[in-house]
Amino acid sequence: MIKEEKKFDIEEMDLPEGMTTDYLSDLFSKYTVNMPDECEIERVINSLSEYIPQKTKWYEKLYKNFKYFIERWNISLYSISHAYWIFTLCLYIFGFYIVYSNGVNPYITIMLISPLPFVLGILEVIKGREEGVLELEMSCRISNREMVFSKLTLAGIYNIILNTLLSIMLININENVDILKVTMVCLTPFTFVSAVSLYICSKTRGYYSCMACIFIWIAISFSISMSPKYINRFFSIDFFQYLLILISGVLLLIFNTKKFLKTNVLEKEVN
Amino acid sequence: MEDEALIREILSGSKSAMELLVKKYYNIVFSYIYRYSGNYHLSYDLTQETFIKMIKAIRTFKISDGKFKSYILKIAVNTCKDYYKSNYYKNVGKNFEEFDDEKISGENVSDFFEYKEDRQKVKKAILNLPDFQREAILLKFYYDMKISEIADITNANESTVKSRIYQGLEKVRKEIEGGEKLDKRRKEI
Amino acid sequence: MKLEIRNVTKKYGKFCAVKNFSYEFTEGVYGLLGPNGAGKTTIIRILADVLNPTDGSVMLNGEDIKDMDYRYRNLIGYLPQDFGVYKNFTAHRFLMYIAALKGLSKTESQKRIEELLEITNLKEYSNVKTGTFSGGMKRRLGIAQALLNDPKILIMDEPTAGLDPKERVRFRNLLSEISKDKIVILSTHIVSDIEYISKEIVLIKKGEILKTGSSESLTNEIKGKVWKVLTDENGLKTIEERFTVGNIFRNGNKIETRIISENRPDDSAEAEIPTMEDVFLYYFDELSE
Repeated sequence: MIKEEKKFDIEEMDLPEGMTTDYLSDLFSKYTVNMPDECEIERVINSLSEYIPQKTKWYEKLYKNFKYFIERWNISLYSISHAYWIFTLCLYIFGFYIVYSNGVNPYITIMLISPLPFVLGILEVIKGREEGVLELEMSCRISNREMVFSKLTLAGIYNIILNTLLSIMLININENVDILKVTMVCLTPFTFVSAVSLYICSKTRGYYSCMACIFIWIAISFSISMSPKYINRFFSIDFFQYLLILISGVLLLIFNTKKFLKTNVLEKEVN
Repeated sequence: MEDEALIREILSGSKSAMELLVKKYYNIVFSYIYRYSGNYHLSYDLTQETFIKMIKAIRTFKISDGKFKSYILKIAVNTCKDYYKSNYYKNVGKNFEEFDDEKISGENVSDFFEYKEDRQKVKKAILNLPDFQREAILLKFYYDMKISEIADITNANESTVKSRIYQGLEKVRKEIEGGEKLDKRRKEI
Repeated sequence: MKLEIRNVTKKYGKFCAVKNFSYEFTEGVYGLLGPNGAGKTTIIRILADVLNPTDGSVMLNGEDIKDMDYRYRNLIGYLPQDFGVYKNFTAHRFLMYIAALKGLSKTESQKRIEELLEITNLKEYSNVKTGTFSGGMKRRLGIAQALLNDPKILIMDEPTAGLDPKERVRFRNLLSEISKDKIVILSTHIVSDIEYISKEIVLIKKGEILKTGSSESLTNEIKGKVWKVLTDENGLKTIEERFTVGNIFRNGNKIETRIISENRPDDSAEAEIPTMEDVFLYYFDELSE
């Protein structure tokens, strides 16, 4: 209990007639307060500690981020269906096989399949909404935004690994295959088709629009394969022009990933 | 340690500096909120809310502007105001007021009762003031804030603050003396 | 522990699903009761942090849950109204996945999942794909996942939908067992789900609180307003026109009706002891299931 002897400066103030400092001091000191015990203060301190700005060294941050992504990817592995891994792997094996045994144009092949694992990965990401698990996922400790991001990055990294492996194998079996050209035909569609698919899925949020992206891409690839002059023209551009295309593709992908994360998750509106 | 130094340390991530700061200002914040609301239960929560708001905004506190005390009291004043403005209070808060338990132990029983009665009178008089008068009076007479500081905390100009205090004091006196007259009359009868 | 809803409003365009809603929960079971479309699910979703209110806030021990973010979600278990599962997952894998999202370690999860499959009677279906589950089994799986992280706040939207009467009883017993140190919030339009286990019942209509209280106090309040009237086929029509009618029992030509009326409807009417069913009928003018 606090019963302070109140001292205050009445400054230049007018007081109502008959009210002296002593009178007021006596009067107000009567309204005492029981102070809460230590554990109440502890409670406040505990809840505040979450808000203290944290300063960490750069390598600690790096390690933390690394650990963070490994953990999130680990969880992503639970939710991405086995069929996804098997199907995409078969796709690449099939691609290698037709080039190897049937002599199909290696550039066309790698161009066609290079964005597919990622776009199929988008399907895995939005299936939570399709199957009505999203609402539950959103209520869990690890936010849905984090999970969507981790699933997308996992699919992206997986896709790049597959592309790299296929490129290396194609170069090994065919001496005429040029390493720069292979990189061009697999990275360009990967960035652009992925970006466009993300854009469309963030607008429509649908399973079917994502499927449509895949089919449209396949159709475009086939029509390109029918007229090799487009490919030849593409190959004839110089390195810097190509670099420009690639950079714009990457930027587009980053921009649309952000957009996708926002529209798909953050608004916290189910239905 | 000075407030400025504490805040600098908090900004660099020191938990113990935060503990010191909370311990230093807890009583000030709590007693203001209690005297404003007259309710212990509620005061615990609003005090916590005040401190959370403070720490969230601590980056924006300009050390050079000084006076952490008026900074945190300003947050407390606004937290209380927001609470009473809210409909929440209208629906739920009023039930609270019954819980207000006074755990005061007097050494002498008759003293205790007299004291308790007096306390109740002053409490009632203050709680019955309109909130802007109550704020000004509490800040002036319990925390010895300057008129200019009160003006800053309550977003009013100095002459307004002065007249609020003046009118508030009149009302307090009326309430207390009115009550006393009534008591006397009762005793006479 | 104190969970407060403060002045929460939720608007969808012009439609106001929840209006200036304020309430406070402490440890114990609470039932949000109201007809379909009363705004229960909106409130539940806001409490589960899957929906942002248009206005107002939810505070846990004086801290806004928006500030607490994952620390708040770490404390809750949630069963949505439309609880979906990944159909090609087994029950076990699904629970492992949700446990991981809740931040549980693998060994922790394994143990907990064993326990919960036992409690919810799903042990033998542990390795069965959830796509083949019946509605009741899915619901039980939903109850299991909500309890994975031993939540301090358990939020369930129509938890008994699809459960058979036996399972409902088991569910109620389970809740009474675990609710000691938890805040349990159930929404339902079925009176019997919450009548005996809830500390407080909140009647909700058109997004606003109509009335709150224990089932005892709620039934007490409508004492003398519930009547039993014996009638026949012709009399029934006039009764239905004039009063709010609850259950109707036919016994040969005789018809026994239970009606709500402020005054004794006719001389032959007998006063009945009100139940929560009558409370529902009284406030919402329709029958609970």
